[in-house]
Amino acid sequence: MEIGPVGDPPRGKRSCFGDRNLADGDLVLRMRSGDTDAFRTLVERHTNKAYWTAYNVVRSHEDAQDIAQEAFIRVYRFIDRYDNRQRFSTWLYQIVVNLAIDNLRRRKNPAALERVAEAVSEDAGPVARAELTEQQERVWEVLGSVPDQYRVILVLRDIEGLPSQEVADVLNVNHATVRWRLHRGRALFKDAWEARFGPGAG
Amino acid sequence: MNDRAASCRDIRDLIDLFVSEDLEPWEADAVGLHMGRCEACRAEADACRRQHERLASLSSSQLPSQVSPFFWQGIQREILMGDQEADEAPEAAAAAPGRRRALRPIMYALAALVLAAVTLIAAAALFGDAGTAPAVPRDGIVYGGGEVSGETIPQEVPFISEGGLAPAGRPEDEKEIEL
Repeated sequence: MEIGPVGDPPRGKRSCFGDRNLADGDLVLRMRSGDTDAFRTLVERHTNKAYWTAYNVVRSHEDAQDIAQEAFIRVYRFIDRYDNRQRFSTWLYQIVVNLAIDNLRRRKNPAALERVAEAVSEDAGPVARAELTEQQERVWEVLGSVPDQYRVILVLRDIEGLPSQEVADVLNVNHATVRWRLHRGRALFKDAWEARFGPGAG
Repeated sequence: MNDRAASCRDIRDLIDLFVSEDLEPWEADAVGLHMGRCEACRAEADACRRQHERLASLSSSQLPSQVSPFFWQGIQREILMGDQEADEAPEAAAAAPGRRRALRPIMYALAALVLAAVTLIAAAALFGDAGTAPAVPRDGIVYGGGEVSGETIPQEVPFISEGGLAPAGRPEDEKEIEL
């Protein structure tokens, strides 16, 4: 499949005005037949989801944006591997979460961790958190204290609202594991919240 | 009383899952039945709902876009680059994407060797035998007043200075090279 020239093509020249009304599965079918506007529609439709999911896991604006971009590049390159029986968003979440977990793993070495800590404290402030209310800011801070494996579950289930079975599909674990981690993650969040703001806060 | 306490302990770990509707039907029935008569567990369920609302406030559907205005262009650029690499060597790219990158140093070394060999041969041709050196093609550039385009320059006309590659001072009657 060829993709158009770099730059923003004039909207009037795009071939598929009806793309925006199509379901994700139909857009994927069009993508496979070489319709790059269909791909662009998918990107536009899911960019916020990919970005904020990555951001809530890795807690860095730059990394989250890179992860979201890389996720869509993989969608484009591996679209033939997408299973139509699965929801497109589940597949996208899988890619985003895997990239985010890889990102967290890379940070495990102390030097990288130090760099990321600096990046988080700097770039998470004015850029990505500019639009958060005070309450959202507090939630975001407490969420950061929850260990990675539980935070990912909270992001997918409680923040993005995916059904438990879809969370299990995204993480490639069974339903019982999701339930356990979800319960544990919520308890950890609650403890951290109460430790910081008191039992009755918010 | 003991029965009720045991029952609270039993369901306490299920309340958050009850609130988010992640229980099996028979579990949900049991928890619902218990909460109908237990104020403490109802309060716990309310706390779980408040926490759920807090977390849901960070949903992507609640938050504005934060990506760069050039987000799409970045994707396009990466994809175009990938397509160009695949066009150059589709089989190699498909079989081993990293192979060409690994071969690059060898290719550069080979190119350097070929360039060095060509330079040595040219130098040998020019300076190897000053007395009987062959005439040099002149490419239409006039030195020393001779004007024979397409012919050869007699060897006594300086072509390269004694110091090496720096050209000798331009002869007074040399014409400007027209490019």
